[in-house]
Amino acid sequence: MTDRRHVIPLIVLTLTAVLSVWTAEARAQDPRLEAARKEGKVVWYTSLALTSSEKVAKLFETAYPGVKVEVHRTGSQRILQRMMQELQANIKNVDVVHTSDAGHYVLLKEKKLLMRYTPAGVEVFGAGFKDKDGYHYGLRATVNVIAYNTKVVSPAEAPRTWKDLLDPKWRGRLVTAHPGYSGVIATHVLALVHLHGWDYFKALAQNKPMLVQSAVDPSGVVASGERPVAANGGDYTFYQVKKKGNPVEIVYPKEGVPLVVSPSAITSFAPHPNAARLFTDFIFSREIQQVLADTEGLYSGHPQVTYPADKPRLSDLKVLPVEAEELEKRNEEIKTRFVEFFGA
Amino acid sequence: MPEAVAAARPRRWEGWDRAAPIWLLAAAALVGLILLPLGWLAYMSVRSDAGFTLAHYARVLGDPPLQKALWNTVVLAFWSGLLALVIGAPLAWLTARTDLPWRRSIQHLVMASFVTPPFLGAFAWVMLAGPNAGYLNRLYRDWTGAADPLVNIFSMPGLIFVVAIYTFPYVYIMIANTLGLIASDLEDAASILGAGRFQVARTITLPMVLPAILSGFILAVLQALALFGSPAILALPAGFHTVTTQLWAFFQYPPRVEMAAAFSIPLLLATALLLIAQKRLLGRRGYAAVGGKGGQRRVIRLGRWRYPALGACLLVLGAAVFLPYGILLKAAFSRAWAQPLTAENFTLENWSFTFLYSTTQSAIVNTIELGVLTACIGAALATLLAYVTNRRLVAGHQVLGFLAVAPVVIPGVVLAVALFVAYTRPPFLLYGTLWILFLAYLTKEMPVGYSQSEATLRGIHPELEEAGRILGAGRFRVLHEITAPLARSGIIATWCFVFIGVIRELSASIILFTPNTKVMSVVIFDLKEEGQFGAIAVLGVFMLAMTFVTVVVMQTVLGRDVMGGRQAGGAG
Amino acid sequence: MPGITITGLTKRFGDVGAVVGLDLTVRPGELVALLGPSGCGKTTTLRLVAGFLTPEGGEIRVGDRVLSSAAVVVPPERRRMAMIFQSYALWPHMTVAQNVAYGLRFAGVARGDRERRVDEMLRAVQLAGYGARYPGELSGGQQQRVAVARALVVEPEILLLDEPLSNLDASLREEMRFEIRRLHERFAITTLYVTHDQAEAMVISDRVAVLREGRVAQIGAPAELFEHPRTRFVAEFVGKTNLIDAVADGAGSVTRGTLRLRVAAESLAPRAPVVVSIRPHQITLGAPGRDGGDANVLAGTVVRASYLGDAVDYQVAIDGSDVVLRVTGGAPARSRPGDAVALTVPASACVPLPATDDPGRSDTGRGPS
Repeated sequence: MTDRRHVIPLIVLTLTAVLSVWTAEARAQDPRLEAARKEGKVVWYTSLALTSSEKVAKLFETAYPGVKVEVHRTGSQRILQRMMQELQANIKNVDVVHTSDAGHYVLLKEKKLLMRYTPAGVEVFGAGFKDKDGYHYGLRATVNVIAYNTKVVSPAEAPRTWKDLLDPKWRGRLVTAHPGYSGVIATHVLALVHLHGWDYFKALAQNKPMLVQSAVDPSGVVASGERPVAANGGDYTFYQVKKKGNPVEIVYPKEGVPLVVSPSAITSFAPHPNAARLFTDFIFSREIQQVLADTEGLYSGHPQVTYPADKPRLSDLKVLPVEAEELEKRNEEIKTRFVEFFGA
Repeated sequence: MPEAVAAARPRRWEGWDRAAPIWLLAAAALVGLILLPLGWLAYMSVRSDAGFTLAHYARVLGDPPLQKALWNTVVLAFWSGLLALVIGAPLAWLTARTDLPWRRSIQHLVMASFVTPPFLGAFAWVMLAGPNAGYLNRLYRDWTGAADPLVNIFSMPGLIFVVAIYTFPYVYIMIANTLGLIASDLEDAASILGAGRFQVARTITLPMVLPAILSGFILAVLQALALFGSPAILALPAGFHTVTTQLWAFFQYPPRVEMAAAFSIPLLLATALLLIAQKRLLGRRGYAAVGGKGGQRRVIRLGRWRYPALGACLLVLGAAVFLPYGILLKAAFSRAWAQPLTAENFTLENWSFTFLYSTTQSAIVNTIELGVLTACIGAALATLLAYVTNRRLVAGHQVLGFLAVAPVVIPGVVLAVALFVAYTRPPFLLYGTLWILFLAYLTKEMPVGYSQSEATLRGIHPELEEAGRILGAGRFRVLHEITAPLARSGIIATWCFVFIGVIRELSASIILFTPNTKVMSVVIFDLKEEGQFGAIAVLGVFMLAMTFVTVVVMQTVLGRDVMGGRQAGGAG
Repeated sequence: MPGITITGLTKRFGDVGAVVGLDLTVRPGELVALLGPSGCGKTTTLRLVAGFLTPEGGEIRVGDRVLSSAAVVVPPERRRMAMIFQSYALWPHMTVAQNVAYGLRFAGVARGDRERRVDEMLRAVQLAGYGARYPGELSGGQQQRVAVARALVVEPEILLLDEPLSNLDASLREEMRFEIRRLHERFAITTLYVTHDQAEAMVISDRVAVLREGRVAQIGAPAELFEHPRTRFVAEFVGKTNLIDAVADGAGSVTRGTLRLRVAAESLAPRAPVVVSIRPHQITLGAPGRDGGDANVLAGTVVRASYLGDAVDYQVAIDGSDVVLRVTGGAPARSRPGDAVALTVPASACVPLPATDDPGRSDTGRGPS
């Protein structure tokens, strides 16, 4: 029998061997690789957190040498704005577009800006992750949560519901991200408007929260203690920060957590279509979906993905879904009213 | 008498100034650069599908949040200008006229504040004075045990403060230069009659320097009006807009270009009026004329006020330079910027992450490319224009001189909107390329390049060129053999000024960039929106390093201090 | 060696007429000084001749070439002139030798020849051996001589000088005046010399043109100007003078109140207002000698006597009149304030001038040589 000392390295070795064989197989079987290599790169506009996006890109480049990934990360709303501005100037730059605002894809599909493509193996994904017409699929999912800094706020005092945040004792101690920048937050706002109406945000504004842009930002603000409580934000960001050893704790409010499924699609005018397809298959593969779940704390539509023990499963939570069409229709209203209440 | 010798008349071509076409070309370039985008802007502000309309103006000026943004801008500009004056004027007097210790170093530090991009300073001050995690606030709470912070940088006063500490150098330069022109005998006359040091300063020096003071105040206000980065970093989180951040917001999808155009015009008018007022104050010469023959300048002794004055100076420079640079360095090397820099907090990860991040690499390349290109072409164009206006080579040279400085009136964001409108349509489809950024930078830096070139050429007596011409050298030969060698160090200074201006430009870049044409300042701003403090600090330090290398080059080449020190060694 | 002919030259700056219909002729090899107060147009005229300015009207001819007219101006580099500037305009980044050699390159002179001529010229201005120095290392006087060398070495047809001595101190200025005159006599180049210093103009020039408000008020040899000024302005500007407003009586004299003076002109219209110019040094203290002739004899009282070292400057109030005459007498002083004296003024010394100065009257400079 093998010595216990050797067990771990052996497992790692085996996994690596399996993985490389698998990828080698995948590579060998993939005729599109040649075409993709000729194109040389895939341009990815993504709203996934920078570190996560970079990691996925590096993994792809390792698996498919010769095809580079050009990562352009910014907030969901900005991504859409960039795309439309470029199109207006007749610039066709982006291959794969991934934002956290499902409403965008309604718009883009309408404008015939998406390519119809079904990533390999995506049939097994949950229904909420698939576009019935086959133009876009949910790459990842997260839920909006409350988070707090454990050094400053004790678990007893911590807010437990969305309504708790309206308590005047939180005045000057909250941070919120902005729906004008982030799709995750736009979804969150709409979900809460369904729950408690616009008066909720009117009251929240009275507590004068700090305004940040990205749904990733509140995690940093809470971790540093600048503002001890985050009024929203993607749970995966708080999870990552907590795993790094920061004194952050997540609260899944009892009224429910807005679910944000972030779609990904290939553009109809993609300058590198083969590379785009290859990349799309890659990111929807079980392996990468598992990576997203393991290291990034994201939820996946793939049923076989396993999650860390300290993370609640989607089925255990009361999720508040939001209709993509409604998101698209009320996008302006969401942004304008938010600005109206919060000032900027 | 033999037949009268017919007078030999010169043939038509003999009298032509062969240099004329070049001047005209340069003039045309300038006109195109500035008037074309502005024309589009004006057009867009009154355009609609139904034809000419004032509806955009009505909406923009009647909308309460927009009115609030306008008001906020006025408040910001006025108070930061005032604060800049309060800081800059005494500092200038202390270094230019008294025996303040470490004068040279203080001048260098003011220069450091001058070249620091204000948005970087704003960012550093977030780390220093954020109400909860800010370094200074935590120190304060640790020492006094108070619950509330000492200062909250996310506020109008905070914004005013940060803007002022990076615009006071404009006031400083203006006043230091003027003080350098006043002879001591005017002040001695007062001292002999019994006035004490400070009385002399108050009753004699001050009135003579008043035009320069007011002019410096106006300059600082102009700068404050145009800033984008600092308000975006400090005002937005606090929930209020300024005109520049609002203009930027208009460009979110769907872009409301007509509104942006209409909203830009009031800002443009305000800055234009201020500039006119400033010109009036200084008269045609462009610098404050003072009485006296400009003779010897004696140093005023401060006596027992020496060290308190030094302390005050160091306080100011601490706020502008030491503290921000310190916290940036710390954040660059820390895992968690808010925690103290212990051995376990120390890391080089930020550096590897930042520089391995593909966007950073291309942004650095873009920035340097654009910096060099704009500096070369800008210096050449500015020198040519300054030559044409200084030597009065074409009719209407005053208009040319005015146009060259006119871009000062156009805030970067407004310029970007105008360029966007002008160059996002055929035939000049420049959006998405580096060229639109190049145009924005060239236009924006023209005033500073032109002023520097103008000053250089003013120092070269026209008779030096006339002497060459009468001896047989044509205009271009004279330019090449006489003017250029004498102007060389000035031209290099112009180059450096433009280069530094370009690498730190944010307000125009933030509107005109596309994912493929990012520059360093935009990347820093993007990273801010992600809360990536470590990476921001790394890039910020890198940007500052590039700037300082350029400054050192410039000061070596010039052989003198750019901040109002006099020229060492005469020019024959 | 050509001369310069300027006819009807006009140049305006905005509304101000700097040069208004100016006529002037400089004969070949002659040195004419343009003398006048600041703003009279002398420097503008010089720069028009050099080709740095374009006239609005009139013509500038050198020899038989028309160089400047309202239509066309030959650029400075093709006018075959040289100029010495008030600031010397030596190029600080070139050595003395390079400065001096500059113009020779465009005159098609071979390199070897160039060096030789530069050396010769430096010797001529007494700066032999200074070739390798830089202008910044030289004194004001030395710099000025380099400027002179640079201008002369190209053997120009016309030489222009713009107040070249005004930056020097008094003693050096006097010395350099003679130097310049000496060089002119040696090289005999047609020269225009601008100055505001009347003594300088007298020493240096063959003829002096006094300019006023853009026109030539009078042109003539120094002596001519001094002894026979034609207008009040010229009389006052060139040397010290006494000016007495009076009325002609039609018989070779003028009257002012009870004072009657015989003057140097016969044909004066009766009752015409005139102003009489009398040079202080032409008045003698004391009764006339045997050859008094038709000299005026006046009785007066000394008001002030100022000792100048080589002369005494008196102010004498004439009895029975409001006229106070300035008299230059020899040193040591013979009279003191309060003394009654007699003044002898020859009629020829009393020059009648038009009472009003009409700057419109321009002298074409073709007066008696």
